[in-house]
Amino acid sequence: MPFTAPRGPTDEEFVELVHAAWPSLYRTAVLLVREHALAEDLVQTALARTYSHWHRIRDTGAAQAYARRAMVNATTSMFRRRSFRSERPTGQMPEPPAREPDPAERLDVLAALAQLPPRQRAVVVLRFYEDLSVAETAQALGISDGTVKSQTSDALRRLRSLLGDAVDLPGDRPTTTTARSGGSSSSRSTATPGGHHG
Amino acid sequence: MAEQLSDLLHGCADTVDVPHPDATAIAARGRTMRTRRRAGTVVAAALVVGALGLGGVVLGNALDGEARSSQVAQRGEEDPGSAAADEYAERSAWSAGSGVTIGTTTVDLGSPVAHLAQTSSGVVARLFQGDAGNSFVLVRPDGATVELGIPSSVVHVEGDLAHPRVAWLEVEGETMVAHVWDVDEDREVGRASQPAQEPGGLSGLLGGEAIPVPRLDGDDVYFSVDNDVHFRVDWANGGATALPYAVHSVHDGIATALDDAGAEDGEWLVYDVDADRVLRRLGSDSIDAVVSPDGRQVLTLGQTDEGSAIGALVPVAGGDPVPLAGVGLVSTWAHDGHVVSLDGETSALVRCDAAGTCEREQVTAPDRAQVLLADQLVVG
Repeated sequence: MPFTAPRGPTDEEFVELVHAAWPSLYRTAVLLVREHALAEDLVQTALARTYSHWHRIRDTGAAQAYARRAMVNATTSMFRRRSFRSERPTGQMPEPPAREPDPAERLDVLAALAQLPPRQRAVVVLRFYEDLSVAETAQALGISDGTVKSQTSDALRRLRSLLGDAVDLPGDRPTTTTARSGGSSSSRSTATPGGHHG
Repeated sequence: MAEQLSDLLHGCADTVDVPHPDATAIAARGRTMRTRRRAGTVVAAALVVGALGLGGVVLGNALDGEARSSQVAQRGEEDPGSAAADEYAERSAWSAGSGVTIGTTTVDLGSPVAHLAQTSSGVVARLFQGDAGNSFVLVRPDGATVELGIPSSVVHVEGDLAHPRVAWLEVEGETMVAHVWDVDEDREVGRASQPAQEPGGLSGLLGGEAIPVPRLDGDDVYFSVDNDVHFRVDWANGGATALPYAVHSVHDGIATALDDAGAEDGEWLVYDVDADRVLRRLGSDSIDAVVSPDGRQVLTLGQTDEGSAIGALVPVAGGDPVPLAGVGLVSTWAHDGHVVSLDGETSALVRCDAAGTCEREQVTAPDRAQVLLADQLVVG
């Protein structure tokens, strides 16, 4: 249940937010940018931005969602700036993670994800890693529900061509599975393009 | 058996070693951002006060005097409406107390002027009426005035140099609404809205330290619903585009924005909004960057370490900046492409053309503390 503070939350509550939100935000950022150092900087920036609004926050439960939105927006802005400078994300993984359950498969998925335009990548990560609904994804990215649906459809089509039959992508067949949301487990129906939760 | 996409993503991300966060350092960075944002919000007010304090810019009486009246009368014999419009296009407008000087014509509105917004039909003056709120008066170039029906609750309007329209923002529930008002027809002609997603409500935007300010450019209105979510909306048909930057100034689809995403010392960028690309980078030294009415130049304003103003015209298409000698930090664009400035050190009105040639005119005013140049936002 969200905590409601009459005059804005305290610095101690911000520290609690940082420690609670950090792992999930960091992992999402890694999916979005692949570079660990950059992911850490983006998450720090997002949380700092959240703190810059801290005195106005009345619902600390919403603060994590705000931080995530700030992080995703900072990421898409960063990619946009890179594209302006004719820079592109590299095809190499600068810092491999410590544990790799299936390196080949993992790299394939990350590499395929990196082939998507930043906005489509964000849509895929928010919907299929963060387990957000269409409406929640639209809110996080500041775009319409329809754009989320079309971006999801385009992204899955692209991923399907990149990954082939090795991956069962939403829309291939109706099914039910269990997925985790930001590191925690929750049951849900498998998403279909344009129809997941919304 | 094929893997689910969600499982694969979790398999990739959930095994990543997560570094420990430094909450204290993050909070310190957040404080810096907050300070910078507040500084940006009040920079216009600081510019006005600072320039006035430097040397005592005084305007008004000289422009209200016999010489000015005579000049207007002489031109009026030829074509009063056209001549007045030309003067407005060349000299913009300013106010001193309750007096508004548009071009070379001065009128007294009876109440202190809090803000002037330039439009193609004249300037819209906001008059503070105490508990009654604000009233808005269109002052045409020939001095004719029209009291507008803009609601008294409206805090601030922004004008469109190329069209007879102003716009303002209001928070309605959890929606930010941009209202567009035709000052010739004196009626609302369009509105655009977007969900406002600021956590904890939006009261801070209006009741706290910031005034939400739209930018109007023809059929488009630009506004932010919080610090990170920015839109360009066609106010006539509602088509919206999310932008990764907050438009600071825009004309003809050319916009300036402070690129502060992830940085405490942001850089000014010039965007072609339609083409979705950066046209020019202006560095981070300037404290203001305003697009010219034709979208071909950007007026940059900054200060030396000693506090002296530095102004320049930067061609959007490339090329060296043209320095503007003697412009102050309080400067605005006139319709015809001249930069009009108040030089606080010499009490002069300065007009500079695109080549950097500047003309100066000594001016005085009855109460220098109340002098406002058009399109200068004063808050706080």
